[in-house]
Amino acid sequence: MTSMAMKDFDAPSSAVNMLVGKGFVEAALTRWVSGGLIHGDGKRGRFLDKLSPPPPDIWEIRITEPVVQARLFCRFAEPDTLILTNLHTRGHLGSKGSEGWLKAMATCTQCWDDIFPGEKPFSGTNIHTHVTENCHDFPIS
Amino acid sequence: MTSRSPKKRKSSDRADYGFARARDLAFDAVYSLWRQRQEDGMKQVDIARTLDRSPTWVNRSLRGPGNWTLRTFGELVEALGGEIELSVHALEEALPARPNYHAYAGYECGTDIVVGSAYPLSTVPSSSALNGGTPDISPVPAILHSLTSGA
Repeated sequence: MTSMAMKDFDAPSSAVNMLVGKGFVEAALTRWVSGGLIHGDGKRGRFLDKLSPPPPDIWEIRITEPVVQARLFCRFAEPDTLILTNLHTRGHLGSKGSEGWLKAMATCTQCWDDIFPGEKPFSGTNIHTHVTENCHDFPIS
Repeated sequence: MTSRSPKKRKSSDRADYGFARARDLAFDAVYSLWRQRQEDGMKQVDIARTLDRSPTWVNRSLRGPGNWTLRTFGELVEALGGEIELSVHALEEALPARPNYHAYAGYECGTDIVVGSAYPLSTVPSSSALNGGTPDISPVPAILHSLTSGA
């Protein structure tokens, strides 16, 4: 996790903690770290999904079950290794392609560049090149 | 929610975490069996018929655990022809680890010792040996050896 993500995760007054609940965010992180099932329907990932570029190779962890949903923005440093850059409530982002999404994706890119200057994120051809175990097949954009 | 004291918020976070983990693990287990049954030719309408539920209910339940209760969990397992095995262990009790695995496998150079293990990589015993079976010294695949020896 980047320091920005960690700050939002830890701060009791962060929007995600206030509106979604830290417990749900922590459960999602545990699911990833402990190798929980990564699955999707025929069109997209349910828990982990790749966002439409640009910018390229940005993924979201989707926390969908509480009433207020959250999205955790991240990029793959290598297969099975996600770098979580920033987190937002779903409502803050607005509809797909809106300014909220673009800003959040730009923040993700900026965080990545600050940590790994000059390094590109890992980019694979399908979900199994990114997640090598306990992962069902679903298309990535 | 904003009026909650920090102590109450912390309790609520733990409750949310426990609920979310239980719900996710239950859903993952059911969903995996559903995928297996799908490959065998089962359809959602078969589940609906078995449970006397509407196809809409089945479809919604298999898309996510948002409205699940223990009853939903049990009904779906039964309709899928499954059997539940529950295991809850104390957090401080470590889960069994694979004897020839550690988090930095493949990253280290200049050593042929598995970190956290008393065995040189070339003589890591198989799990059957560690579990009390006949000692069975398995040769390490060449690719693993070259990765760890920096070759």
